[in-house]
Amino acid sequence: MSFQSASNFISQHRRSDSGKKKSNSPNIMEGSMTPTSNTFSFENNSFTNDNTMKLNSNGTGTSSSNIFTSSNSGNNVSSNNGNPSKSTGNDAHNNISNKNSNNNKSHNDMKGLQLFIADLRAYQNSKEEQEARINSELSNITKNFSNKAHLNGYRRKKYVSKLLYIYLTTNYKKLPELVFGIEQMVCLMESSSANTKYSEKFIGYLGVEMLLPSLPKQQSPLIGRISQSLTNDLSSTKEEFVCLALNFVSGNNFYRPEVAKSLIDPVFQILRSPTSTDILKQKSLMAFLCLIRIVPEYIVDMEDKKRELWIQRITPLLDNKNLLLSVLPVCHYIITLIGPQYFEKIVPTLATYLYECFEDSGNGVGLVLPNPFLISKILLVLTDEMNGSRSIDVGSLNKLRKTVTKAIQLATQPVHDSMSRNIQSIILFSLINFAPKLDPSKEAIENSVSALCTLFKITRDVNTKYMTLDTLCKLCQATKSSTRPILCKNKELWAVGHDIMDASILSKWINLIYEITEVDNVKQSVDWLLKMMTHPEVNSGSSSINGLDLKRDIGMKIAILTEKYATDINWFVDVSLRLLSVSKVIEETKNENDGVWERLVQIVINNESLHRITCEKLLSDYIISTGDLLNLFTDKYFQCQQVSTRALILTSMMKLYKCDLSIGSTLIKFYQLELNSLDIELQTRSFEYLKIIQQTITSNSPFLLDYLFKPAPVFQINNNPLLSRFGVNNSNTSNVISSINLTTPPASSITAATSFSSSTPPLAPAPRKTTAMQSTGGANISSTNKYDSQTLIANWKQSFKRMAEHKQGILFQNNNLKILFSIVQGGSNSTTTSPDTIIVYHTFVNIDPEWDITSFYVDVIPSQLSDNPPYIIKPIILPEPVIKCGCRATYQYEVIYRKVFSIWKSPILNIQYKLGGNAFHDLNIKLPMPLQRTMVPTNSGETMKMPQYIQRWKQIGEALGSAGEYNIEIPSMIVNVESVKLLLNKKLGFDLIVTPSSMHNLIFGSGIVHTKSDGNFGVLIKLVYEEGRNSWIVTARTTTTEGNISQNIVETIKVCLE
Amino acid sequence: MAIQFLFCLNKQGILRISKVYNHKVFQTIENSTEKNDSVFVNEVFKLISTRDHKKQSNFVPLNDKTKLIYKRYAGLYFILGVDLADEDELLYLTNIHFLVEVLDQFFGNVCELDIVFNFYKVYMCIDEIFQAGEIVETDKDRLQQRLQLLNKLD
Repeated sequence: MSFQSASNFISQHRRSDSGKKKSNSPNIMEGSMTPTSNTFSFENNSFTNDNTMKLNSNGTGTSSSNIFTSSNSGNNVSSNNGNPSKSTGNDAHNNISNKNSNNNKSHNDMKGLQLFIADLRAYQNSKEEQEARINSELSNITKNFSNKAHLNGYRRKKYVSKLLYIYLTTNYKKLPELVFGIEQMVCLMESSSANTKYSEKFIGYLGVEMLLPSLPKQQSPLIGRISQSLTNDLSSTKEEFVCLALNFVSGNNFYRPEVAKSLIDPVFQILRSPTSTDILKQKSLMAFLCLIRIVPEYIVDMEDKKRELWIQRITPLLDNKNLLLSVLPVCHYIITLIGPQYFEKIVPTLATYLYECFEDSGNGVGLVLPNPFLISKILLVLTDEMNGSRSIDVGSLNKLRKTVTKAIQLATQPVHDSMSRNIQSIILFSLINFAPKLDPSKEAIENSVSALCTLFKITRDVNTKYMTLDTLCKLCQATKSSTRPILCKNKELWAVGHDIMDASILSKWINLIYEITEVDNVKQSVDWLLKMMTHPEVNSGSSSINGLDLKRDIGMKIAILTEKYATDINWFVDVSLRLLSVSKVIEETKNENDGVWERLVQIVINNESLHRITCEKLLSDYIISTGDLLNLFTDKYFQCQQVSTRALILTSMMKLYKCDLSIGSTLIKFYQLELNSLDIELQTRSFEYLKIIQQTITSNSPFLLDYLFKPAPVFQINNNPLLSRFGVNNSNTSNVISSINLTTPPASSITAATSFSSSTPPLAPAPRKTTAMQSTGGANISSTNKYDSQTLIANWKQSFKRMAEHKQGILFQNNNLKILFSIVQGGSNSTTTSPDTIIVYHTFVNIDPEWDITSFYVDVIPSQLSDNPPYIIKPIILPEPVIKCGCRATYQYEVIYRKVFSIWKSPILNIQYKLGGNAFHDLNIKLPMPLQRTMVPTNSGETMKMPQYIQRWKQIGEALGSAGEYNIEIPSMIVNVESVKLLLNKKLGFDLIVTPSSMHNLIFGSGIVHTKSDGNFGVLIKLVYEEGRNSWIVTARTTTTEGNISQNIVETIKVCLE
Repeated sequence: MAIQFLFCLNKQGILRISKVYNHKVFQTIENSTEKNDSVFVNEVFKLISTRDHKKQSNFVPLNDKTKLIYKRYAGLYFILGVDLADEDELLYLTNIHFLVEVLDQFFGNVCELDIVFNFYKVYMCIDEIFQAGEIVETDKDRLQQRLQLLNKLD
């Protein structure tokens, strides 16, 4: 549309409206009509593209100020009308009148609206006038809406449209003043008489969709009307009305769950109906997706049989190629909800579709290229399926491998415009990302990496650079061994790209370098990262907004890499201190609580060998005697102005005194001088320290001094808290720095070597030692002591019982803290579930009405830490140290059952926190880790039958005699056999054997206990209810005599039954 | 893996089209009220409009949950909000381009005025291309047939 013709168009309208307004100024559109370029401008794509160049020159040559010209000239896309009529003004004029007749005439013709918009545009240079015009229109609409007699469908539609325009053009600011109109919108939407007009209903739906989210909650009658109207339209005979309702459902997820639930069935009816047209099926699929996203439990909790039926209705829709784009997201979402097993059978179909994408020349986006949207969605579902444990058939695998090759070939073909190039790249990237799933050869991966590296080198397009780095990063994560050598050698990658001014790209780049860093190139990487710190974009400030703080990110990565891979302590300390000075991390950590600084302090304190070297680096000068140091302190003391620093120096001097009593007299003089300090804090400190020195001298014993100035305790945290910020389970990373520790004190080297028999040496020598004195004593003893020395809370047995019985629930609650737990079987870092491992989640909720919880610290103390422990606890996520009022924190850890152990040896959860800054709380709760947690229930069809059970029971008895058996009588309040069965089966995980009705007082069960080191053991249980005595006789037999499994099993049952 | 919102903003930062598929995105601003919705739009605009189109990519994180994929067509920015973890940036960019091509075909050389005066028709087009934040139709001929049909309905 040309500028000239557009203003004509508007002015015609205005004149025809009886000339209410003054003559319309020709500049109404100028504000926005100053296009810098005239087309689908490929401004972001710096490819020198002949076509684009031509197009630009063509565009600037004409006088028309089109904002968008046809895509044809720019893109070589399929033919499109309107293109030839571009060059002359006349043609442009014709063009606009064509437009009027083609489009604008039809379902709107709301002159009033067009005028109103034109008016507002006329005033666009004056906010006040615009505001006044909007306000007068609003009062007009209010008046009309209150006078219902004059309202007909058309006028309603017109006013509602005006409201919606105001809503948009004021960037939502007017929303509170528009909400009144929603009732009329609902009227339009629910209208369903024989002559209801589609265009009116359409506007009604549009209005409700836009304003519904801001509807005050109390307007529930309207919500009721809206959902009623939706239900009506969903069953309407007019297809277009059904479409409107479906559009509404899938476009808007602002429902309450109960409304969503009530809509699922009617929507599904449309989806499954054989008479529904493609368009209805398409829209109902997406509406269905939207609804189950709101109430996923609808699918999750559905009866297996019904769910299978539903899925059987959905998968055949895949046969209709027109519906692929809408069926696949639904499949993907259901897979994420309930796992891939229901969709295994569609894999071959999808592989074929994917293959075909590359065969026919596809008309997806009008290019002779495969349809990237379809490819991406197919790959999404295929990836879901491949992540499942099942392997796919050879035929499909071959097809998929061929497609990867084709995608790489396709990427090398020349195309002439950047959109096609984008599509080539999309296809290349998505298939290379997918390739590692296909069990590729080393060579194939190397080829992909080389292709990507070349692309990275030659492309000047910023988007492509970004995506290349991203893909390399993923490829490297998936197939490190073959990818890493090539990347390490690539020079382009190691150049610090000063020409790139985009934080997102730099962030990807930094991730990649981080990913390929190992011991052999850690110095190179850290150098690179330190250089990156000085990159202008990193320092520009724009990088620290939008949740992407590059500087902080680099700092943390350096800290982690140095700690993990440093082989030279000098270098480690050097880099760490350099990092702190370059990045000013210290200042930032005060606010951000990043802990790079804290981490360094932890490591230095925990490693004696680092003490000296760190001090030397810090002072950049060799310290010869205490006297020298004291002089240094005095010098600095008078140089610095900050009170807090001075106070710190005063304290440091005291610590110095503790090491060397001979400086006492100098210190006394110094402190006496400071008694006259103007600052109360300095004065007080000096006075106190003076008294301590005097006391030490008079009593001739350093007892008080030693007591007050204990050496810093060794830090207790085993894992690097920095890593958890990257969402990494850090417990299985081996740290070189921690092994430095092994070289110095021999005692702790033994503890470190024995404490974890797996490949995870703990970072700090041992957890939780109260004084440094103990550190020579060995971790083994201190941890046992610690376990035994904990005082459990008074009613810990209640919590213990609850957690033994349930997989999730409330563990504990007092006036200010509530603790929830939830247990999931299977390891955290393996895709295949390992039954010997469970993950425990604790949620801590601050329920205090007033105070924040601070200094919040939790720990799970195992009964035995080293010397072949029966179970190992690996923290996954640690809670933040502050829980604000009403907020919550999560703690997540993994428990690996290595051997059989008694439930009474279960770990203790230790929680320490302060409330409101002072009142200190220390809670200890024993967390039951019964062996039953490692049992995996078998499918109902596969459980043992009675005769089989009896046979095994006898076998064990004959083979092991009474050694494998344990029995006990448990008096119990639970007298109902069925509820005990429920407990054993659903909660404790036993498979129950179906018993004949004559044995109603008997329960038989079986299960397999899994342990990582000692293997798996079968367990059989028998429970007999003694009616007269209200008690249960519980007997267990196991396939081994070792470890008292039977006893442990029975005792757990006892905990739950009592 | 879905679009969370679609904005169309002009160079002055005035909203031309806004289609929200996931209202939770808006709620990331604490105590979301109407006023904050407009703050949200302004944030988006500020971020996009200050970017260098030669040296910077068309993808930018907005906050710790959402990133923006955008493209400027002369005076109009088309912006998609997607999950920060979403990986198909280029594909979303192609989504935008596809939408603009469809609008161009439907209006015949579309310009900002078409979008201003016929904003509700743009919504109609969007509803035929995207549903629940997913692209559902990529056949342009089928789309045009369908759009012309709907456009003629009274």
